[in-house]
Amino acid sequence: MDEANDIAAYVRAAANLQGLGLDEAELARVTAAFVLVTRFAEPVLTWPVDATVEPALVFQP
Amino acid sequence: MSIITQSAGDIAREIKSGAISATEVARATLDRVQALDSKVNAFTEVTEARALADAAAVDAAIARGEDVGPLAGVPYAVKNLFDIEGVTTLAGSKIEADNAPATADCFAVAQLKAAGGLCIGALNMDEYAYGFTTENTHYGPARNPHDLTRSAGGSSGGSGAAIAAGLVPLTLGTDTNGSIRVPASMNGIFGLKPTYGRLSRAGSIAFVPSLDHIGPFARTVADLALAYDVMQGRDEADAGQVPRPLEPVLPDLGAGIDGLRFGRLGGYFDKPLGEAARGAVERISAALKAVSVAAPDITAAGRSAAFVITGVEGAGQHRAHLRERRADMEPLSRDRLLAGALIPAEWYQHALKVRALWRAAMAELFRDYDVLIAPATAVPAQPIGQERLTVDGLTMPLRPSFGLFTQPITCIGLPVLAVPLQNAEGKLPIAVQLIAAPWREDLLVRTAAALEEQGICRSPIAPAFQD
Repeated sequence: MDEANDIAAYVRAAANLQGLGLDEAELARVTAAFVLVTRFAEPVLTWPVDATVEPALVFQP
Repeated sequence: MSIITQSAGDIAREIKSGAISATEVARATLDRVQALDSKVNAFTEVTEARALADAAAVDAAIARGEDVGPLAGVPYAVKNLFDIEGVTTLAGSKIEADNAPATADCFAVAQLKAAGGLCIGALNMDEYAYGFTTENTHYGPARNPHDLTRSAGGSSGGSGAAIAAGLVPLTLGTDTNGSIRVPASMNGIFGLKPTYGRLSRAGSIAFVPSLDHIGPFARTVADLALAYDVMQGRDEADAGQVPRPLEPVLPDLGAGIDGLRFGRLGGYFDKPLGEAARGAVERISAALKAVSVAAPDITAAGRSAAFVITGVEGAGQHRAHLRERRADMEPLSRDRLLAGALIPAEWYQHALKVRALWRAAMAELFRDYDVLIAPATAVPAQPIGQERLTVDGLTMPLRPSFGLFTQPITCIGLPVLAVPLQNAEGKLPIAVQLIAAPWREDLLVRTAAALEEQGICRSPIAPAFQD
């Protein structure tokens, strides 16, 4: 399965699990939006972090 | 020039001197809004009765010899996600229109009222603050006073357009990923996004709680500082507010910039940039004698972290709507919200950790610099309805991309003052970000005031709306 199909399958499964009830047209649009999410998220997801980094549950600027 | 198109400070002085009454100012402002707002579609509701009642109260207090506050009789309006007593808080949505009117003013509006301000109404925005263009399907697009075919920016587009059109001298907006700084750039006005946790957001509809800020727009730095100072104060109703003493910036307005260290952020902030944005950054940097400084390598990851956090928290705010009222939601953002609902928790956790690293990297820079300079937007206002943006040979989807240079900064809550340059590309303005360390809004105001005094940054009413 290629990446596009993987994403489409993930969107369908995750949307069903959340009870969003998307029809086929919505699934296609949300899949396209999620492809954009994966592209925009790439720089953060590929930035290395180790287990000691505090995720700042109490935010201080 | 009519009194109502002057600065907030001048209006307050005229009213306090007795040269004009607050009621006269309120009526003249309501007339101007009635005459001109249809061109820009900045207002979603005009609170005529409220404005006249506020004005009558100011006039009565003056007649009794009381101190009516620094905004005596100054008209203002607020993005329609702030509660105004007696007005339904829309947040740009059709769904919220079903709600009863707010029973009380939010903290910020209450502060403005206590300072003598006159609430003129509620302003157009992207639905639930998710957008950079205010192309609101339910209430129509906010139009740019410098070119009515172009966007006023977003999500606080009505707040920006109302200022640039001279409808009111002060407005409030919110900024999660750039929603104050992008409209400031599109409309050529001053906008301040304070430090995260500085001003209370209580009584406004949240979008991304860990990134949401509120702040003012104005046509002068003094007005911006005045509004910001008035809105300071502890409000325990906002769990995200950091307890701080009042730290007014207006007294610093004329302190000048001697001794301040300025850095122009390069690297991530160098590209993609249109000629107008590049020229604006160069002009500001030259005026401030800024030295070049490379943005930390982690900057792109910081922007990306903001995107992930926004997706997750934004969807979380509206999960019930996404399940039950989807057909009533803004088509331009609904699918992005749905996609956000599907982001894995591990991505969000990773984004929070990267945010911590990004914050630490910028803290290092502020050991050597007091104010950092970066573009606010890559290009000036774009035509309403445009889907894609090509800059520096790079083509990207326009609506999610306008926060390219603003998102990294909001991600870590730093204070930013957007300063405008007029006629940056033909008749269109553009803005530049001045960025400081947490809680140093005073340095931003000093710097912006110096640029304004030099005539580099100014914000006249858009030519088509001048008297």
